[in-house]
Order: sequence, then structure tokens, then C-alpha cells
Amino acid sequence: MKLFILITSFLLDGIVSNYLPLNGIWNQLFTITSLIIVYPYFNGNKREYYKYSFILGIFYDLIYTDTIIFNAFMFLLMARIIVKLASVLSDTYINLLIITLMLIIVYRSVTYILMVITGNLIFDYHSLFKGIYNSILVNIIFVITMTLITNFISKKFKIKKSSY
Amino acid sequence: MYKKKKQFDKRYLLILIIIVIAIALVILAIALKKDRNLNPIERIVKDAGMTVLKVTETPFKFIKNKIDDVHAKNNIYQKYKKLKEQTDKIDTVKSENRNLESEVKKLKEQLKLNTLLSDKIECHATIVSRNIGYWYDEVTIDKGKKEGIEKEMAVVSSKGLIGKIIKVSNHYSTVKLLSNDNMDDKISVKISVGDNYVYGLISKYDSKTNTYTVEGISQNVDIPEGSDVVTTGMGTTFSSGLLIGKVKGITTDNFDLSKVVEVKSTVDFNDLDYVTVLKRKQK
Repeated sequence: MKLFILITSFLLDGIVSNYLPLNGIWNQLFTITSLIIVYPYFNGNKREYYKYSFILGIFYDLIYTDTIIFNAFMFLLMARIIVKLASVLSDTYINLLIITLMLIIVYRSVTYILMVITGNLIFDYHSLFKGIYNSILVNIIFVITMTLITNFISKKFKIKKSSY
Repeated sequence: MYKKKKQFDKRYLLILIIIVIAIALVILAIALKKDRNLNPIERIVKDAGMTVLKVTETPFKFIKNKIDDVHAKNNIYQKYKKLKEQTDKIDTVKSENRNLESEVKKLKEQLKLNTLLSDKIECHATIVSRNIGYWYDEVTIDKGKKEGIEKEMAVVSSKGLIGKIIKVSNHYSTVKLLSNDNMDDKISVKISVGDNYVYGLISKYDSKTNTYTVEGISQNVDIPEGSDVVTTGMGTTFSSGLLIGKVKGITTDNFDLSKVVEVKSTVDFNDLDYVTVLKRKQK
């Protein structure tokens, strides 16, 4: 199940990018938000969860962004945030949305700031806000849909899943 | 004595932290460098990953093409009439083109020129994924080193210039789009005014309006709206005559010394599927 969620999200990230407008309000972050959906399937095994996140980040680096280990560490940071938030928030759809929102804000802000620090972008807070709000809608839809699908599959095939 | 030792250790710790931060920043700068070459492992993984993505995408592409076909069949009679008008003119354009080609050839021989700024070789490609990193404004195409693609080659769509190649793997390449608000490369362009050209530099792109800002144009030239804006061929990347857009509006700079031209891009960056990579002819 873990691999199914991660691989599907990873491929969907690439496929969907070809059908959504480049500068519209539909900027997908499916691979990163899939870390939220997949976390309960690790049944509290944080070490394995971090390992999967790091490896997924490496593939994201190599295939999609042409960067070296940058996203691997970003994914690790995102995984850490998910673990921390999951320990204080209960397992409801509202909390799922809060975690997704937090993840998008942190990921977009940290990557943007690091790109500015390394001289790849010129700081403009409008661009940063645009990057954040352009990613919210589509990713929330994705997380909710994917959670419903995976919940249905896990119930049908009796796959063990912990709550947050 | 103990207090002194603790202070000493703290200083070491501070130096160590600074060194670690500096090293981390250097690594980060290298990791995020836009124009670095991909190493062999990166190239292999990228090729494999993109091939899987391309195969997975096939059914989606098939459905999209079918939907596009249905849309294309609407108003087919109007489209036919329009095309008929264009085909009537095509023979005249062809003969003019042949004439110009032979003139250019003769002039090149007379001037002993091996290449022109507009000489280029074409390679067609399909876009496999678009701008996943968001801040990077990049797309990946399905042609790479093995197909003769190299860094810094210009990439155009049927409607005009879209960007340049920045990274190349064996069978895929990454294209940096012109559609980024943080444009760091200034592109030399010329605007056709009657039989003459006015020269300037593209300094900005606005994604909201899909317009470029061209600066550095002399005050005493009248530029009509709707004039074509093309590349000059000066510089190493873009050959001459690649369409960028059409003049939308003209203002002056803050000091009232030169004109600032707003250029509406002819390319819809949201609708990119097939592109052409242009290689400048070498001597």
C-alpha cells in the first residue's frame, strides 16, 4: 500500500503537470503531499517512514528537478513536520487539511528562501504568496481523494493502518 | 579556570557552526545550480524515470488527443475556408522564398560567409513533464544527447521562442522557459518598424499578462502597435529571426530618456505539447 501511494503520486505529479496551466491556480505537489497520506501505513515505524521519504526525495531530485539531494532533505524535513503534527492532531479530515496546508506553506517558503539565498531567484514576496496559494486547491483535492481511495482499499483488503 | 575553559569551548562551537553553515550553503548552491552538467548516474536515472513516465502517460495522451480531435472538428467549414485562402497564397510565397534563398546563397558566396545569424538545424520533440519544481520554470522534452541536443540551444513552439536547453541527459533535456518572472538572462531583440529594425533588450516577463518588457530603445522612434518582435541573433544562444511576440504598448522610462515596450508573447505557455530545438549552424 505504501509503495502504491508513493509511486502513484510520483507518476501523477509528472502526468498531471502536462494538463494543468503553468501559471494557474493548479500547481501540483502530489509527491510531497502523498507523505501525509502514507504516514498511517507505517504504523508508527518512524525510522522506515523517514527512509522512504528520503529515497522519494532523491528520485524527485533526479527525475523532476535536476537537483542534488536538495529535495531529499526537504522531504525529510516534511516527514518530520508530518510526524510532529500527527502526534498532536487527531485523525480527522479537517486536521488532514491543516497538515496539507502547513506542508505546502513550509515547502514553498523554504525552497523559495533557499533559492533566493543561493542567487537563483530574486526575492519578491508576491511570487512567494503566488506559489503558495496556487498550490493549495489542487493538493487539498488530491489529499482528500487519495485518502478516500486508500481508506476504501485498506478496508476492503484489511490492510493495517494506524491513526495519527 | 573552569569558566574560562567553557568560554573557550563556546567560541570553538561558534566557529564550527559557522563553518558548517558555510559548507551547507556551498553544497546548496552547487545542488541548485541551474546550468550544471548532469553526472552519468543522474543521466541514467533521469532517462529511466522519464521513460516510465512517458509510458504511463500514453493512455492519458490518447484520451487528450481524442478530445482535441472532437474540438478540432467543430467549425470545420470555417477553418477549411481560411486554409483555402492561405493555400492560394502559398505558391507565391514559395517562389518568393526560393528567390530569396538563392539570393542569400549568392551573397554568402560573394562575401565568403560560412554561416548567417539565422542559420539553424531543427530537431522536433515532445514535452514530457512541465515545471514540477515550480520556481524553476522548466519543462522536460524527449530528446537528448543521443539526438544531438546540447546545452544553450534555442527551443521554439509553432508560435515562437519558448526558451533554451539548460540540462541534457542521454534521451531527455530540460528547457528553461522564458516565462519566468525572475528573468536573469537579457535577450537581444529587434522590432520591425517599416523596413527598418529597432533594437532593445528583454528585461522582464509578467506571467499575469503574458507580456515581456523590452528596454533600451531610443526615444526618437515611432513604434506601431502590433509590430513583430524577433531575436537579433547577437549572442551565442538564439539565432536571428525567432518570433518572440507583438508590440502591445509603449511607455517611457523613469527619466524619460528611452522607450519601454510591452510585448505580448505569441506563445501560450499553458499549451505547450510539441516543440522544436534549434541548433545554430557552425562554421
